Amino acid sequence: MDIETGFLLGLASGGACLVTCGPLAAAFLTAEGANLKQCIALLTIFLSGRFLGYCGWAVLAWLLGRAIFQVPSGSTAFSFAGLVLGAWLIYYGISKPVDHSHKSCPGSILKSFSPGLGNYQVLFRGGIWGFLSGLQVCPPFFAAIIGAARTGGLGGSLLFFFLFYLGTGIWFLPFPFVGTLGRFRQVAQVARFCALLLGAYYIYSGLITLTGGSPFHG
Amino acid sequence: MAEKTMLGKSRIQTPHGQGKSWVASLLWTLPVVIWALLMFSKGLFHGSLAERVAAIMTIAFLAGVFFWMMRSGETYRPRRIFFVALGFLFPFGFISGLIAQRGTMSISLEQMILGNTPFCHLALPMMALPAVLSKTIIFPGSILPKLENPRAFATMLALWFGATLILGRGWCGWGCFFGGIEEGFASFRRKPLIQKISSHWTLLPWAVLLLVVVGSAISLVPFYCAWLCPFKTVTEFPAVTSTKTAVQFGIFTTLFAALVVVLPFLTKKRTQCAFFCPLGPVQSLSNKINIFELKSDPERCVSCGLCEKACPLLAIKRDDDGVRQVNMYCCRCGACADACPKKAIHFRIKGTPLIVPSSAPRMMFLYATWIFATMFGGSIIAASLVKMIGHFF
Repeated sequence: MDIETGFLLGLASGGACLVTCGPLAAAFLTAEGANLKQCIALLTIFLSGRFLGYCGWAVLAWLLGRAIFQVPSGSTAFSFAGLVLGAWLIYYGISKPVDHSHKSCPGSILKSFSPGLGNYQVLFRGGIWGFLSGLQVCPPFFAAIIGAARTGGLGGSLLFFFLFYLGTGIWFLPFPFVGTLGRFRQVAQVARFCALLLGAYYIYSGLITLTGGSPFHG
Repeated sequence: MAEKTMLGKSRIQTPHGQGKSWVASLLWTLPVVIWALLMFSKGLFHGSLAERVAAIMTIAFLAGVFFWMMRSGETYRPRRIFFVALGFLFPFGFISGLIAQRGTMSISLEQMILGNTPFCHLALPMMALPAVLSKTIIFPGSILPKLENPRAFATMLALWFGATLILGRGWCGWGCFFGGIEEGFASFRRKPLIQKISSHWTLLPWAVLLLVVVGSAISLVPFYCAWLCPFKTVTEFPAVTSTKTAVQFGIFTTLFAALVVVLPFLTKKRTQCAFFCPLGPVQSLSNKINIFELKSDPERCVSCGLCEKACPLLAIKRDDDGVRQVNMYCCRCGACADACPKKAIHFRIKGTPLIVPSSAPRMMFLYATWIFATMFGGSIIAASLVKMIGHFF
């Protein structure tokens, strides 16, 4: 598999990413973005965090290639990432009432760890969410991991995943426009409930993969 | 209490509304009896003994409930009798059928592939997008009805669409057999143990709908049926053969226990319908194009909040002037109209003036609804009674 096919793979399979990561991005943008500019900025942060997650996969794929595919595909670390993200999303979906301040949302936990962040906590949260969502296992990733592993070197693997990331990223371009709907209180609440339900899914998939199963195949 | 009309006939004056005299109530019920006789004539005149008895019982029951609505002027309590009976008889008939056919409530993968899965209306929203995008019906059941399995996609789609055009979200209040189960458990207590429920939970079904539709479109699996439907517990479920099916079964039973049994019992609300069902938002939108509605008269409303407490779907909100207004989540069960001590809430036909008191819109709605209820709910009740009679006698 050539490096440039990473882009095509991402483009072809980006729709599947929307199931797990798209609603998360929509939930974040809708809840936090007040206008189109803010939504674009938040999406950029989210996708940057996501890109770092992809880089993690690129490194794993490189190690996988070095170990001749002997590393288990669904590692414990990624299962735990799913559990953390799931719990966070559920807390976020339940705890923050609309029209209230951001004090009760999960991002405020980060503020206590990093008091200097101030108003940037939303961006920081977006970045972390993007990063964690980028670590999630979904079917296209297995194809991408194998493709990146076959490139041989770390640089090749990173480049493959960067192109893969660009391909899937095209699917996220309409999201800032979805995010501007956040001015409507009810739509923002629905987006938060989406985050809640997705959190339940992430926890389920994390637990299943921890026990050695596959979320959709038992 | 009774009062004399201008014609000198006495009629019931309940706190809920104006009832009709005995003679008028009987006359208003007569068309319903004729319709029911037509509907159940096959079982009545050509059926077995059990079918004849079931047909007579069903006709008497439907006529009796309608007569009660006419005589008392109430809508909610008589409707509840019918609705709860439908809700509890449906699983009885359904499960009896499954046990007779397969000997078990579970369905194997092979039977699913063969299309032996009955189709229910809750699956409809998630079918649309895949059907448009990939020309695929993502359900293992049959598209057209078969002799051995009449509950096919086309049958349910036609029934649901016709009923929705006429009733709007009244489908959820008068037709959905699953809702009847919840309402049964919600009826146990006189007063709710949990009274304060945040109205923003009524937005949760929109999130469920969104995820179910997108998830089904991408995975080409009926996501709600496969993972989230509480009513699998009282209909059929995939045979537990793996971790995945065990988790599915756990989700179904937990959701059923929580949303259909425990929470309705504690809150006196239909919690599954109000907070989870993905068909609910679709039905609510259909209220926008439906001609019937329940409307509050601001001149009469004293903001006592009794209607809000009575509404099983949290479909009544206070507007800026403190007047309670019925919103689009209304299932036209009539609980608010019956509960209002000032008779400020009425059935109305959209575009017409709110004439208080006027029974004409209510009567039109009840006739439209009862024609459907006799055809759909009555058939389910009769079929279940046949099985019950056959089972016990």
